[in-house]
Amino acid sequence: MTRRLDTAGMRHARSLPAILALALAAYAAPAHADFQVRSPIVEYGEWELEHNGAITFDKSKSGRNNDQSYTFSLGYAPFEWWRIELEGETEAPPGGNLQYTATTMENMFELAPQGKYWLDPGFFVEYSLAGQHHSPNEITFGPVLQKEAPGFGGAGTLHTLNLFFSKELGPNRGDETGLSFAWQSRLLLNPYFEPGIEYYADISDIGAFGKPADQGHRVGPMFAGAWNLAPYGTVKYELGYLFGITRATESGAVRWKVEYEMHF
Amino acid sequence: MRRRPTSGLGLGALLLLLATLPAAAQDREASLTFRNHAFDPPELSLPAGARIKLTVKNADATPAEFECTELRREKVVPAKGQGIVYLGPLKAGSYECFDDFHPETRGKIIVK
Repeated sequence: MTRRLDTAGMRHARSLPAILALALAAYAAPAHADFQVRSPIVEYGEWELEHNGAITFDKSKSGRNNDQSYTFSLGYAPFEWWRIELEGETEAPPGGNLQYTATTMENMFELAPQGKYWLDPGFFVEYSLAGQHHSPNEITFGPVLQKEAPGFGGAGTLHTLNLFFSKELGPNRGDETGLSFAWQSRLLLNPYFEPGIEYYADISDIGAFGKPADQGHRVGPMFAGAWNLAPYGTVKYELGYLFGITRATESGAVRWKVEYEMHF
Repeated sequence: MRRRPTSGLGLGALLLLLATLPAAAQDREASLTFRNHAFDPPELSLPAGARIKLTVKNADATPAEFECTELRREKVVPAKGQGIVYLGPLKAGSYECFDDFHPETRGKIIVK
């Protein structure tokens, strides 16, 4: 996962070299397909194929319209407490062609059995190897928390929080420590259809938060569901629309996730 | 004013600490067994409003996966082994469960 660079750019774009550097960095950035809220729950012995996608919408000359990003990953849980995924990330920046941007190894550690404590805690660590020579590698890590709670209308609710820090590594690295916050709340109406709301925030550098208007903040509705095809596995999906609520973000973005889980 | 990066990391540590708070209700214990690819008992009665520590045993020679879609729980149980599933607090009702590896193996959890 790479952090958004649009907010950082406003501070640094004071000279031509800085602008060029920013353009290069923005070209490699943000996997909008990272619009996903990760669960801390690990299903031992399960294989999963996952695809995430996102497309942004804004005014045609804003430079934020039609930014497409897609990820494809293969995951496995070799232990009850650890799931590992290998992911390929691609992106087509506005007006550009689709390019391979990163190879990422994701790890989710389930820190306690589901339901044992008041919250279900997990810890996420990923390492992204840049697919473009001018881009830095990156490590991202942080807690993942989930809580099932009573809802209304006879349905429960599921709330998930991701709080991830990121650091760039390698020769093209910056010194910032990025922070991304993702929150999703769902109404467990029916396994096939669970409507909810989600919120994403990106801070380029926690050492210099800057104005909220220059940070990336997005909120919007989503729904998710799953079809159990036992004994042939489970298909899960998520679909959401995010409204950009600060000047640093695009007007909107549609994002989706499709996942196939199977034991062998 | 610049904020120290450690403040954000501290928040993350605090959230993880919060997660380990014990649940308010005391766990009750129950168990069920996969035997000859059937639930034993076929219907497991549990109390409403309680948190349950459910031990799922597998007496068969093949692995099983205990799954209750409505309860959002699934657990792989090795052959001749067992696993723990934490449930609840549960609402009164009937919840269908099955063995995801042998979907014809079905049982119910009845919560009263």
